[in-house]
Amino acid sequence: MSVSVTSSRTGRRLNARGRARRAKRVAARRRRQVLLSGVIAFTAIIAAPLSVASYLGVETSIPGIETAKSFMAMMSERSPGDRTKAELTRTKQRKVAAATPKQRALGKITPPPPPKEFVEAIAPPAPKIAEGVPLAMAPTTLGPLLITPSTPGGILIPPSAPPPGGTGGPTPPGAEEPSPTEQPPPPGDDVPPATPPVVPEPETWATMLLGFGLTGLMMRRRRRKIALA
Amino acid sequence: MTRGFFVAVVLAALATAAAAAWSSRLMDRPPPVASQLEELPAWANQDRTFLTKAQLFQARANGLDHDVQSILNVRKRMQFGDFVWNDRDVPKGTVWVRVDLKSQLLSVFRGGHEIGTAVILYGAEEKETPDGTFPVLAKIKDHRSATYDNAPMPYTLRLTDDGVAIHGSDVRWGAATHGCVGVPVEFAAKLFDEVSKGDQVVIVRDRKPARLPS
Repeated sequence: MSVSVTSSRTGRRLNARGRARRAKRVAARRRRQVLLSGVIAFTAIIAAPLSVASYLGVETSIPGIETAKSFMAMMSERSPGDRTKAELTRTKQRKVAAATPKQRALGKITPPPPPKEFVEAIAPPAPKIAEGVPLAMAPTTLGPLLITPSTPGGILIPPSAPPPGGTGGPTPPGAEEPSPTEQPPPPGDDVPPATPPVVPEPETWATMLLGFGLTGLMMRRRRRKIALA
Repeated sequence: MTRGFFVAVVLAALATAAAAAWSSRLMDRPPPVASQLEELPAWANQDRTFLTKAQLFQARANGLDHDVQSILNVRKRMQFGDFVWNDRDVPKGTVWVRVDLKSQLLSVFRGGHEIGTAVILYGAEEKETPDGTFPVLAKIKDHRSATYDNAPMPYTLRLTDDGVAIHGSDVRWGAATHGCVGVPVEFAAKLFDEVSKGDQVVIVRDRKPARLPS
C-alpha cells in the first residue's frame, strides 16, 4: 500500500524519466507477482499428494527398507496384544455327567404315579415350572404392564398353552442374564482403539498456521478499507 | 498488501510442503545401504520387509533362534481369527514355525522368509503351553482329541508326546486352549501343507525373562 502511495505522489510531477522508471517498477512488480504465484503453485502441487498420502496412511517410503524398527517391534505392531481373558474353550470340555439322577437299584418304594388326567384336574401344573425353557423366547419387551392374571378363578388351562405374556411376570424384564455366547468382549481389549497422537501432526500445524494467517490478513485488509473509507 | 498476502501464502505453502515431506518420511529416513539394496531379490515388493543385518543382529540378541531375512508387511493390528499367508515367489527352504505366546502370534518361515502369520490361542493358566523348541512329531489331518471328549482338532501338528499340538480351532477373543496352540482352521490347513514331520516349532513365552540367567 505504501508503495502505491509514494508512486502516486511521484506521479504528480512526472517527466519522461520518471515515467520510464515507473513503468519499470510496475513491470518488476508484475514479474515478482508472477514468480510468487508460480512458487505457490509449485509448492501446492508438491505438497498436495504428499499430504494426501500421509493423511490416508499410504506408505511412500521405498518398500523393503524399513531400517527404523526392530524385528520385535514390527512383530508386536501386528499383535493383538497381551491376553487379558483366558477362558477354556467349550468344545474341548469334558462332558460332565448330566443332571439326570439315575435310579438306584433299590427296591421301588415309590407308588405308581396317578393317571395324568387326575393330576391335571386336581392341580393344574404351575406355570412356574413350565417357564424354564421358553423364558429366553418370551417377549420381555412387553413388560409386566400387559400381564393379565393368568388363571382367573378355577378355570383350568391346558398345560400345553402357557398364558401369553404371563411368563414375563415373575421375573422383571431386564433381569434376564445375557447368554454367555452373546456376550461381546469388552471393546477395549479386542479392538485396540486407534489412539490419536497427542501432538498434532505437522500438517495440522501448517494448516492451522495457514488458516490463522489468512484470517489475520482478511481482518487487516477489512480494517484498512474501513479506515480508508 | 497483495505482496504481503502472497508472501504469507508462500510461507504457509512451504511450511505445508515441508511438513508433508517430513511426515511422509521423505526427510528423516536414513539413506539406504547400497550393498543391502543389491542383496534384495528381484521379487522383493511391498508385501514384505527385509531385515537389515543390524536388525537381525538385534533380533538374535533378543532371542530369535533362526536367521530371518524378511517378514510379511502386516499393516494393521491383527484381530482374533485373522491371518496372513503369502508365499509368492518365496524359494524353497527350511521351514520353521515361531510361536510367540505373549504377543499371541504364530509365524511360519520358509528359507528365512516369513510366509504366514496368524493370531493364536494358547493354553490357559492351569493348562500352560510349554515353551521351547519342538520338532513336529506327527501330522494328522482329521484328528479328534483322545483326552478331551473327541473334540475336533483339524490339521494337527503334534509337538509333544503328551498331546500338545498346533491345530485348527475357533480363534476368538477371551478363549484359551488346554495347552495346544490354536490357529484359524483355514490357516491350519495351509500350515499343515507347508510343515513336514521333523520341522522345528519354537514356542517363546516371554522374551526377556526366559533369556535371563536365573
